[in-house]
Amino acid sequence: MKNVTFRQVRHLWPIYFLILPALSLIALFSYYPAVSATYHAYFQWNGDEISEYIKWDNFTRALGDPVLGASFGLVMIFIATNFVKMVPSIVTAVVIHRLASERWRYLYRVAFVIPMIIPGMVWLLLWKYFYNPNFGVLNNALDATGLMAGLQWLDVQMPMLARLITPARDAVLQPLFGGIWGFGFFGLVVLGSLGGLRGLMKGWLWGIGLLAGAWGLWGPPLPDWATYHFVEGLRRWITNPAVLARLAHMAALLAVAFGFGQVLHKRRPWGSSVIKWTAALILATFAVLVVTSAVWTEPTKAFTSASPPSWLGHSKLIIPALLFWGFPWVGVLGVLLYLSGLGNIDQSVYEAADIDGCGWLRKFTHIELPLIMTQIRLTLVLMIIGTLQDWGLVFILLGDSGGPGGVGMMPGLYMFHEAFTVGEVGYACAIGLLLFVLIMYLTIINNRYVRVSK
Amino acid sequence: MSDMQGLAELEKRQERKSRFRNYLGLAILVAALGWSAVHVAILSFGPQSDTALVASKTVVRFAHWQLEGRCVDALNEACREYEKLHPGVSVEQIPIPERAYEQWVRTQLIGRTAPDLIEMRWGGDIISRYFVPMTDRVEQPNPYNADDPDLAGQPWRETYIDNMMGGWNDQLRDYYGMPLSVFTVRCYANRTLMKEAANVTQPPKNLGEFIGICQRIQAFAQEHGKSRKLLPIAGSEYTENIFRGRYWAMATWNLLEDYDENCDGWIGDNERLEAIYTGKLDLATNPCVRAGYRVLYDISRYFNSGFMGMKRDESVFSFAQSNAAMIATGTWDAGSLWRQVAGDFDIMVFDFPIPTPEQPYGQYIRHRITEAGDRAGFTFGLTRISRDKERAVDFMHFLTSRKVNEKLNEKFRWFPAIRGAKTDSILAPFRPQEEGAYGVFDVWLPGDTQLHFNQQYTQYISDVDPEPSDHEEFLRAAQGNPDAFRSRYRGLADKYLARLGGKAPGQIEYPYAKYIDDWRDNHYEEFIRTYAADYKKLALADYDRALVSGYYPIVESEGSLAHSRVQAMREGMSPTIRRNYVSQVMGEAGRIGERADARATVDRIRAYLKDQKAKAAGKGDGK
Repeated sequence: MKNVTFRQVRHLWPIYFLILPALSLIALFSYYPAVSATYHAYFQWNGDEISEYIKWDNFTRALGDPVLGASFGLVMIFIATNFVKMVPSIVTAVVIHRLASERWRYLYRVAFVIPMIIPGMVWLLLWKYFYNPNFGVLNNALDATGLMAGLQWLDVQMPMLARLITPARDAVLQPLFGGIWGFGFFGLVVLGSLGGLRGLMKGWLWGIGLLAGAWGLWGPPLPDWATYHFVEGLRRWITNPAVLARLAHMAALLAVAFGFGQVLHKRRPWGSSVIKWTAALILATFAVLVVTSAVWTEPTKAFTSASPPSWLGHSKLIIPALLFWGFPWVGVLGVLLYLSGLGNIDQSVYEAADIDGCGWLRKFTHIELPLIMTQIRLTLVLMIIGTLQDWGLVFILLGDSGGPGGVGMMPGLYMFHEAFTVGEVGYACAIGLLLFVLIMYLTIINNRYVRVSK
Repeated sequence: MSDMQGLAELEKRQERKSRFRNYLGLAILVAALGWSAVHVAILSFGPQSDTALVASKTVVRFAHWQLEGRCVDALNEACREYEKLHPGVSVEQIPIPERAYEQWVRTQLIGRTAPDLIEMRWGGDIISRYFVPMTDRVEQPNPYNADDPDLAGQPWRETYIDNMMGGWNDQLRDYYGMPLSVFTVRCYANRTLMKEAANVTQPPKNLGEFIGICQRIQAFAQEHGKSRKLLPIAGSEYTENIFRGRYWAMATWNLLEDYDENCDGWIGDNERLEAIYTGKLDLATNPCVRAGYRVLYDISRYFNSGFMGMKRDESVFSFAQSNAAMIATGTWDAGSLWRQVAGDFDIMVFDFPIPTPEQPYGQYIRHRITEAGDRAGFTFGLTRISRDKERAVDFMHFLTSRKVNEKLNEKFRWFPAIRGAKTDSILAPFRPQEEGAYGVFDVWLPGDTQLHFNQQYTQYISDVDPEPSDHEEFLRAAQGNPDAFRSRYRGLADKYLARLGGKAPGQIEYPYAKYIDDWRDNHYEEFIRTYAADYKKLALADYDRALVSGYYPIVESEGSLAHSRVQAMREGMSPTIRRNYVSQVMGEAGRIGERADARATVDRIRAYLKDQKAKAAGKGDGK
């Protein structure tokens, strides 16, 4: 990059002057609040003049806050689901792109733009009505098709299945992986070992995330600094046999996963395939175990009572209802973005693929998907940021406590609740900073490691 | 050569031209900025400036959340009437939906953009920080009552039915609000449906009868295949809240005898905190607390499914559409409900029934809620940032003059707050009932305990009872492996095993009704034990944090006191100034005392907990 000399600045000053108004507005409305929030995160602040410096207290409180912890858990579920929800948009875009008639392609594109002008509030009311227990479309459709009886049957059978599987599952997974979630995470670690130890060193940011996750699932609880002096707390912690045992267990699991990767990743051509298939097998087993033994463990009793299921009022139905929200999940913006990417693929590429005898699936996996990876990466970043920040929908539907049992509490909603209902704006700032760090971390990870093939 | 010179000349000309083009954009921007600056300056300081506009036309803005019925229209009409009386004044109404009201107002107050008058709903620290004490003003007569033979010349305060107690702040010991109406809450019933489904024409005499009616309606609905379309009570988060306000207060009123240490007729935050932390009061086992939450659970069985996910308008709509036989709401819905159902069905209104001593909970719920001391509501406070405080107060004088208040409340179909104002005839069953108990006890503090309570309570109250098939499953499991049975049903299994009294499962009769009773008890115990543990974890920190905010009213009161002192020095000790002065001195002393008391409570609890920890550690070492 070429440095700009003072002489050039003197010559180009009108250009710098022209961007000044925009810069000052951004500084005033975007950077100043962010700097102010960073500053006030260290205060017990009511948003006005009551402000008392309390050092790290807001952060230590946030890190030990079970409501905030659960809200991050929920947001992770939403991110995982929203990731899956990206698939219908990609498929729709590819189907439209492959239409032979240019006119139909155009018509479909227009059809996807039209819903963008419908206000979000109208969608919200439509979906709220869709879930209405007495008059809503969903319950009436379930009744009419007999699917309600199917749900009633599942409400009895799924918990029974869970009761059957859980003892065996825990007997195997508990001592080895600390439980089912530890097992799933182990699958991710195996996948992360694809580049061996050198790959881990190169992708140190990803490694930090893995280590943090491993500590959360397998590691010992942190020392009790609040009760003891720092050194004393550390001494008690490190000399505790239970802590040492858990540290050893965590180290062993990480060593096994990365040892596996280190040994196999250089064995071409089958080494990386073995790692991938092993990870896929673990993750698939994990998914099956989650569905059969960790989700529907207790009867919801929502489908068996005389009154109809209340999708947005029953603590066990709220999350499924929110996950199903927006079905069939064909995002307008996503489809248009993918279509723009697909439009850049030259016809000759398809012709070459035809000559090579590629079928429709191969064209999708080997041509279209890699060539719209830029758009996918963009929507992925937007989706992650949007999901982490989003709370408006939950607030409107469930109130600022997150509904029955607080099951719908999101980090953003909790931040809002603390700031504007309780008046603890300093604490809300600390939560905001934690969210900012997480979003930044996930964005960097995404930009670094989601590869774009050209 | 001449060609070369010509070319050079041409290049120079083009360069000059392009330089001019480069600066064109800048010139436009500078012109736009300059014009904006001049325009803003003219608006701010010129003859048409805001200041000048304020001088020529005063604007009074007021915000509230009462969007029901004809409230907004009626207030608009009153505003126009006031504008006619005062041609230089414009009154602007800002109605805000209730759900977003608190957050909206907080933001406006902090941002110093709040309207002159705001409907109030907060505690001491917000009020003292952002609102003007009205104690001086309430002693002056309301000029709009000048031609009223009964109220002319009387202090404003005394023209109120409740002596303006609705505007009095106990904590700050000052008047801060100006109320407009009086409210009571009642059960509304669809007379036609009650006759058809439950064969009743009169209101229930006690809680047992009320539950009986609900059961009959439920049975009728099932018989006629209308279990989804006909409900005993239109439930929502809002109606549940109303039932909770009544029955919780009725059931826990008796706690006053044991826990009101300072005998002020109220179990304060610090009294409750100390009682719970030192083990004097155990939330998990207290029978009054249990009665309060259990009765609410029993009543909520007759609400529609998922009522906690429903909003107020949905339950009112359900009642108005004859989808529910009863609803609990306040006088604020009377006008609009009567209008909506006119010609469809008659409405019967009754007070919340209490159990007879022999009925369940009869031992704890012995009195209805008194409304004798109910303070007037729909209370507006004057904000400190109001540009023309005198004009804003004058507008409130206008709204609270007997004639206007009567007219306004006639349109609202609410009770007027001013003495002598006539009441709409449909409000007869809502007349305040004088005898009874009142709310003395809350189980949360603003902050984390409140959030945990809201989350756990909503889950507790909205859960669904088990079905007969669950009962069969339970009995089957009881005959299987005892350890698996206990681990699956935990407290419920213990209750059943206790009922067995040593006999083998299946040897005693355990019908569905008994199972449901045990299940409900167990469900309550799980909720209250979890919450009681959370309370102990969170409440002290919440209370401690609130004490930091609580410091502000003291600082603020010193300001008012100084103002009173200056006023007394300037104007002499008139009876009004003396009263204000005394009130402020007492207020400040009270606040300092309360704060000192609160600090001492926290210190005592901490010392107690430390002592307990040391004892526990000693025992542990001994082992």
